[in-house]
Amino acid sequence: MSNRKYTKNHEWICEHDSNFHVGISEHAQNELGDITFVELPQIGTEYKQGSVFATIESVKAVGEVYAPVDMKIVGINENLESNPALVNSSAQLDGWLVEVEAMVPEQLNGLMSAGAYIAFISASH
Amino acid sequence: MEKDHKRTSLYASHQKLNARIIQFAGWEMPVWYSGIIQEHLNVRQNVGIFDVSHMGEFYFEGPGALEFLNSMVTNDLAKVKDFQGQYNLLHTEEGGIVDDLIVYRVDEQHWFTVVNAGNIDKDWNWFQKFLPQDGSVKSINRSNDFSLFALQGPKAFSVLNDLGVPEAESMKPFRILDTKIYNNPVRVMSTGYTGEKGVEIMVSNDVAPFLWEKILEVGEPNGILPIGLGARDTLRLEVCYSLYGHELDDTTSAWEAGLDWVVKMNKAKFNGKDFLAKQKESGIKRKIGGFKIDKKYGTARQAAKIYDVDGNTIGHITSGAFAPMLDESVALGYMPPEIAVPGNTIFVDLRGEKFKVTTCELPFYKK
Repeated sequence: MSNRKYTKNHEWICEHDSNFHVGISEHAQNELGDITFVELPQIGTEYKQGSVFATIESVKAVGEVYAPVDMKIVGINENLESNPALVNSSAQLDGWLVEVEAMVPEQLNGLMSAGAYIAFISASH
Repeated sequence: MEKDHKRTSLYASHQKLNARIIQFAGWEMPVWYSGIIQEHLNVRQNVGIFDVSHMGEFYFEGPGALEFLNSMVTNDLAKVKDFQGQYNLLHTEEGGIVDDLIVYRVDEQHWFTVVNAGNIDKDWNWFQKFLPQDGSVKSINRSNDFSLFALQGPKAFSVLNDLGVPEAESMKPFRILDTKIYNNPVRVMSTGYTGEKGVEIMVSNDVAPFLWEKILEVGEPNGILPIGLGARDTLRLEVCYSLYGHELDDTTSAWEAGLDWVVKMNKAKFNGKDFLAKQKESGIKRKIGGFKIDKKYGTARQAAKIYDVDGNTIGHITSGAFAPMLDESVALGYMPPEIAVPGNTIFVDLRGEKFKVTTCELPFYKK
């Protein structure tokens, strides 16, 4: 999806129907290793950009997931309760975490495009 | 990575296998290659090979070696025969454990110990502190002289057979076999940290990369995989083996850790004997217990608090992880001895919330 944007904390956000899907990047799932548990927020909760809205546990680590923009949760990926490994196998598609309303859409302009994100992760490794 | 972290002789081999490298106890080590869960299940179902070269080896020789070592450890080395090893603790008179280790006897005057990587310097200094000065014991730190592989799983002996060591299969547990693999002298010990059948193999550093790759090649028909420290931890936790820095440290006694069987109080003298005698008399205030959590709730982590039904803090988690064979999360922790038995309700700190669990029977997993 050419309109997918990325954050420095390895989240992505992209349009989905009239809202947005948010998840973690392929790079992030690879760093975490085998994911065993995903804690998702309550529907209706609002998060400011940069605040923690979800927790992902792998066998070796706990990762916090940060809101890429000011957002309100309108849906969660219920498949992740029984199949958290979906985030490993399909981080950027079936492993989406939440569906959100972007409360300040202009904030998307400040996020990285796919090309910029790839350059960002190459530079830090 | 910091430049002063050490690497085993297999570092280049791990890189070739695309290992995820982490820093552990001053070393750069593989935490996984293909993934912790896959590696864990493969050790239980087939066979895995681990690089544990970062562990330490101390040699003790001379007419005074047995008496000296027996005064340092809690178990009774007088019962150990030639080419045999024994699990032991280095205990203090302050009620703590310096390390857990295996002590091996080659013959009456030749002994060696294998100690945890993170405790090499501490253990060496501890032995040196008590070493007799009359020349009856010579001690040598050979930690940097050897590489060590663990080969573990139901197919481990099948792989050893294919490597030309069929006699390994008839080894009793905790025995030593000095032999050759592809003409290279190796020392095979029938020990392990996974709860599976298998061995640990000491090889010289210069042949380690060759033998590592050869074992992976020869083991392929038996489904061998390289295994990292991540699965090493989940494997030992499933069978409730203690890990220093978690269940054991300088504040935990052998009784508290549930390691009564590693202590022989009828030995004349050993470090920690007086403390252990007094504590046995007065009773312990905490003991290791465990519980399981449905994986859909996550995992309790080390240092998380344990509470009673009234919300009082009664202990803490020492180890917690997802257990792939059980498909559940498991955890061990210190709690009052009467709570540490199966069937008690406690609450644990799970991501900031008090979560209700029931203590269970240990070990979590048995073959």
